[in-house]
Order: sequence, then C-alpha cells, then structure tokens
Amino acid sequence: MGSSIDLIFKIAGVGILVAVLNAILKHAGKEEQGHIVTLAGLAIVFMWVIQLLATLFEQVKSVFRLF
Amino acid sequence: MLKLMGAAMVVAASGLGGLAVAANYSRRPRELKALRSALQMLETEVVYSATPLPEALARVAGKCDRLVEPLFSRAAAEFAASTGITAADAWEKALVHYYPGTALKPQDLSILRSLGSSLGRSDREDQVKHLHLAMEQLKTATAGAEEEAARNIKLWSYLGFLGGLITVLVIY
Repeated sequence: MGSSIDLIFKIAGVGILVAVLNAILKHAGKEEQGHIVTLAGLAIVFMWVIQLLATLFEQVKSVFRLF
Repeated sequence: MLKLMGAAMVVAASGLGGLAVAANYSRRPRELKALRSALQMLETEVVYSATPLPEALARVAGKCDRLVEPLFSRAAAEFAASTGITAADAWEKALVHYYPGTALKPQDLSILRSLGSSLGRSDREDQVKHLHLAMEQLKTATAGAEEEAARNIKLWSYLGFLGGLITVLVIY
C-alpha cells in the first residue's frame, strides 16, 4: 500500500513540474518543446502506471485461476 | 540520507548548468557592446591622433572594457613579438586566441575577421570606413543578441533546476 501512495505522489510531482516547464517554455516562445516535454512526462507516468496495471492483471489471473 | 544527498547534488548540478548557459546568453550582448566601443576608441586613435596601429591597439587595450581587453593587448603583443608581421596576421592570431574564451558566435567572429583583413592596409579614410562597417554590423548583432538574451536567460535559469527535479523524481 505504501509504495502505491508514493507512486501517486511521484505522479503528482511530475505533473506539477511538467506544468511549470510548459508555462516557462511557452513564455519563451518555444511551444514545440513544451509539447515534447508534456509528451515525455506522459510517457514517464505511463511507464509507472502500466507496471501497476500489469500486477493488477496478474492478481486477477491468479484469483480466478485463469492459467 | 544518502539518497537525499544524491538528489540534492543532482538538482544543484543541473541547476548550475542551466545558470551557466543563462550567463553565457547574458554575456554575449555585453561583449558585443564592449567590442563596439573599443572599435570606436580605435577609430579615434586612427583619425584624430594618427597613432601607428600597434601603439593604437595597445592604447585601446589600456582603455577599453576588460571583456575585450585580451583581444587588443594580444594583437599589440603579436605586433611586438615578431617584426614584419602584417596587421591582418596579428589581428587574426589575436582573434584565434581570444575567441574560444568568449560567448561570441561564429557570425560575430566573421565580422571581426573581415575587419582584420582591411586593418592597417590603406589610408585613414578607408580604414575608418571599414571600422564603421564593422561597428554597424556589431550594432545589428547586439540588437539580435539582446533579444535572444531576454528570451533565453529566464528560460535556462528555470530549466536547469526543473530538469534536475524531474530527474530526481524519475530515479528516486
């Protein structure tokens, strides 16, 4: 349980930092780089979340004995 | 504890890197302005006091901003070091020495190079024309550099720290 709360905080941190970076890049007239940063943040968060989803599916499989 | 120290070090390193890039952006307009005023002094030396070029360069080196002082003192030293060296050669050697330590871009270097090839070669009026041309070009470059600096200084000083924070967050 503790590790998944940590993950939520990490995701929130990435979200905040990406939002700030995006605002700064937009202010400096570099919208394209801002989009790239947003996409990179999304990819990082997906990497974390997909690992959790994989364990969820594993658990579902083991609970219902779908081997 | 060790992890926290490492995180602090990552943030500090990338933050300082960003600040260094920002400092480079703020340095270029100042250097261009200093170069322009130094060329103005050189023009005064050439036109009003008709000083020989090696001496004029040494005098400008003594008076100008310390950002561009190495260029002029080096050029004067090149003159003193070898007899029979042309002004263009001395200027070129000084530029090669001076350029790597500055925030100047290759296009600024080419302005100074083309000035050097006409330095000390013809009569006063012609030299003044070339000096004026170089000064005008430096002025245009300064305007561009200032605009670039205004956009990039803030960006880079934030970007370094935020990049460090994201790195820490991802590998924590």
